[in-house]
Amino acid sequence: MTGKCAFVTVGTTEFDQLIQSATSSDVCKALRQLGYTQLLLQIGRGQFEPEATELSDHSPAVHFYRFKDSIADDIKAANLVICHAGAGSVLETLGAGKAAVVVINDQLMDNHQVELARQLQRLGHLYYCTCRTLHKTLEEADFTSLQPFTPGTPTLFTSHLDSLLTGPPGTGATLVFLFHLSWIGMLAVLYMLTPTVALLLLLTVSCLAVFVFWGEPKKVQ
Amino acid sequence: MAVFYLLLVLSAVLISSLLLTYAVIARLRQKRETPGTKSILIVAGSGGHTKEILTLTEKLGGQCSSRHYVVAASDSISIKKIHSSERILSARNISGSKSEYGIYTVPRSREVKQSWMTTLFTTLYATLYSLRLVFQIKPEIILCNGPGTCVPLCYAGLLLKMFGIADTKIVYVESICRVETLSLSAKLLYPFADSLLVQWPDLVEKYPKCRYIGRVV
Repeated sequence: MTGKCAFVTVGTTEFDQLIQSATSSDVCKALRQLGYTQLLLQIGRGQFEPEATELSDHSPAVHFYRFKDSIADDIKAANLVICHAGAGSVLETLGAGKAAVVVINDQLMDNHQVELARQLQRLGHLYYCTCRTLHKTLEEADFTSLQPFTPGTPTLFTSHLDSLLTGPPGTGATLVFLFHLSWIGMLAVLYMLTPTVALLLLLTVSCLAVFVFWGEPKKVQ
Repeated sequence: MAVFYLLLVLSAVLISSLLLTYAVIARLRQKRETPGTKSILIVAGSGGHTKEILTLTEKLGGQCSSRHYVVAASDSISIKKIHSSERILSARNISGSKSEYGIYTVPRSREVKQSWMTTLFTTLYATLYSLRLVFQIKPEIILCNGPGTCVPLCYAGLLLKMFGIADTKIVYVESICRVETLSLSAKLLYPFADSLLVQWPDLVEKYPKCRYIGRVV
């Protein structure tokens, strides 16, 4: 049986509230009414484990797992992706051309990820909501009106980098000269006031510099 | 006492002159050895930051033939991602046999739930460590996109430039998440970055030094 599939992902973090909300009877009912027969959840590090259930009249079949190396296949197989507001998950979903509902974690302090979700909703690429309003959003949203999202163009960046590399040097020699002049001057003044401190300072800085230059950096395999 | 002072002065002068010589030699050697090859230091933060920055570096051409990645210690997922991204690069074989890369770790300034008192020391240690790493690599470009780890690395790059050891340029690519405000790291680097790219045009009005060249991720 191949019906429509909804995929819930929380990324590398935990977001129990989303899993609880997505498997609640309200949301299951809403999904079933929209014609979904499969509900797959990626629950990450969360404490809460949903119950795996079979397909019924008021609920899609529920399955879940914690982590996979790549969730790209699951996103591709899904018709609707409900995800946390992490930029990675959001962009991966939009890049795959899937309808997305982004659920904001309002328990996180200073959650700047809301900015992205809000902006993308304003541009008509997705819908965003909180855990409490998830079922309402699913019922009311018009997924056919979503605009396709064109991925960014990294080549713009590489050509910018090229122009930077071939362009003029970042800081002029004057700045470097002034810098050296100023620290030598300050050291001289300090030497006149308290020679001991000045010399100790010079010694410390020298030791620091030796430490800084010594050896080769250690690579990780 | 006078002898002690004299020794102190002598040793300090000796060390400083040694350093200066080293700086000059390093600079000359770098120029002679590698014409046309540039080294780039890529700061991969964690999670989403790594993903974003690797999207950019995967499209790098032959201009950056030696790539140095920096990850926070204990971030094995990022290391795995870097290796697979490098496989994509080498499959494209952009710069022939000369292309190389290395991955380095820096300690974290603050682990989750660490107390503030010890944070002072770990931050100092992390800063010194970053300074050392940057001075050893002497990159032409420091590319970063967000997490706190990149701030000491960029300041180290600034010092490198100040001492005239290498002509390091700091390139900061703000995350796509930032629509209305700059992140704290970007604000800290705002006066020093050679190039600060943002993903949304509205930010340029607020922060005129930023540049919007189109969405890059």
